[in-house]
Amino acid sequence: MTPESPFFSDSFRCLKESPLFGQLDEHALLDILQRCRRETWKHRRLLPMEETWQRFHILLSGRVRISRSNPESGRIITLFLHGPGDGFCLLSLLDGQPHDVMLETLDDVSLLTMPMGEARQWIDEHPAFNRMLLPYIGQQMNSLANLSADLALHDTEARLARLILRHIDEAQPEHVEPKLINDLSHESLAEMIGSVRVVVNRQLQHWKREGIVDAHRGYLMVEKLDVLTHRAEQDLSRGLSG
Amino acid sequence: MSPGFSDRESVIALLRRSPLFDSLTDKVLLDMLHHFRRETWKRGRCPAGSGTQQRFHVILSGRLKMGQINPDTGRMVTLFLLGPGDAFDVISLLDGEPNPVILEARDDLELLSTPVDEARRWIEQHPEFNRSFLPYLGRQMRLLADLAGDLALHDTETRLARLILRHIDNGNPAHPLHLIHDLPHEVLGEMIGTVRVVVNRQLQHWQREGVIISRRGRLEIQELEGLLKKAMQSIHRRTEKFQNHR
Repeated sequence: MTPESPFFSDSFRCLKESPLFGQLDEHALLDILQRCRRETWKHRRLLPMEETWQRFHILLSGRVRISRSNPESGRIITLFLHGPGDGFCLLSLLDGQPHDVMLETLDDVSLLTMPMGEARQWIDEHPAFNRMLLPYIGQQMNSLANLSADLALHDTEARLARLILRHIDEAQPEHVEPKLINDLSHESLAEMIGSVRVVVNRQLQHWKREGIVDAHRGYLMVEKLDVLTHRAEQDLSRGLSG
Repeated sequence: MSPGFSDRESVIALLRRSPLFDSLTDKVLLDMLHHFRRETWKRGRCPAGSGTQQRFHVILSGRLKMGQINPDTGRMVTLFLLGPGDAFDVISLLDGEPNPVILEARDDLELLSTPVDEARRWIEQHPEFNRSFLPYLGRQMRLLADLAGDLALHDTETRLARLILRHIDNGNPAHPLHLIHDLPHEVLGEMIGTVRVVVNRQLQHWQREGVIISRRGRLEIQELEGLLKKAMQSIHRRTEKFQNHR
């Protein structure tokens, strides 16, 4: 993308706000932008990984989810939900191998992309980038570790509570809107915790009656953060007594 | 490394076998060792609050189980089974946050360790380390993605088959299984989110079918094709059930 592009200033602003690129100096950001091309992908598009893993992507707007599926049962588990400023396909960037995942847009998205080889070379040339890349990899690994531990150790109610809490970064006790997941369908929420639509639906209805959340189609608001936090932990003792 | 440390060359030879360090020059490795001290840990759970979280470790020999526990049920899931050449805790090294993991040495361990801050400084001063560090992180992340995917999408039989297949040494099923060949069934269960009795029953069943041999605490693959089928067949089973149901 050249500085003359009509999308240049918006893209530059997005990189400035990104956890992955925000602290880079202007020169490095200009260098990235000039090496990238801008793409737009339509809402609900399923992208073949054979093509996507060969380029590194920086999301400018919209959301993308990266999932695994069991093709025969049709069941899906979402490994990552990415929003503006996130970078993917991180795994292939790191080890140069294809990754057995599905990539799907949840909105109309715009993004910057560059060939993996060039992205790796860029990292080599900009050691300062490590200061952001390494913590970012740490966060992504942490979220996978949490997903695995939740799946193995907690029941559905606790997993759903923990999913919502991980998407809240405000300290206020009531009327908190989770980021990135607040308008997802119950099916998409279920795919983030290894469950199915009907279970998530029933749980949200139950919490709604208890006044813990306010939820209807495409809308989720946490009304009692402390109770939800309690639910995230309490499945354990329930499991023992039950 | 601490002054007076005598077998520096053998330590370097061990590190050379690790994918994390094999591309570093002797000069860089020697510089790295200068920041590390040698430790030995006895087999067993590492006590919480022992300062382990503040240090970054490289395993020279032995195996370490890293997992999360549900304190109320006592149930554990193993996130990583690490062996010689592996490093921990990579996640807290990267993001600077304490990582609530349980560490358990499966064998007596020989380690190198350095304060986390010092490891971070060293990495920053040696950008060439990225060339092996980033692929290593990719592999670790892939293992976590495999675990999450297996837990959410596959039944216990498939998960156990996939676990064993992932530990075939150097692609040769005739070799002893890498890291897991002699683990108790309880520990195998913790690696796939199940319990001892389920793993035990499954292995006995496969043994009767001639797919694996499990004797005197050692696990071997007898028929790779059979195991590969097990890794896939729950999918077929589920489809058949669904079709019959319809």
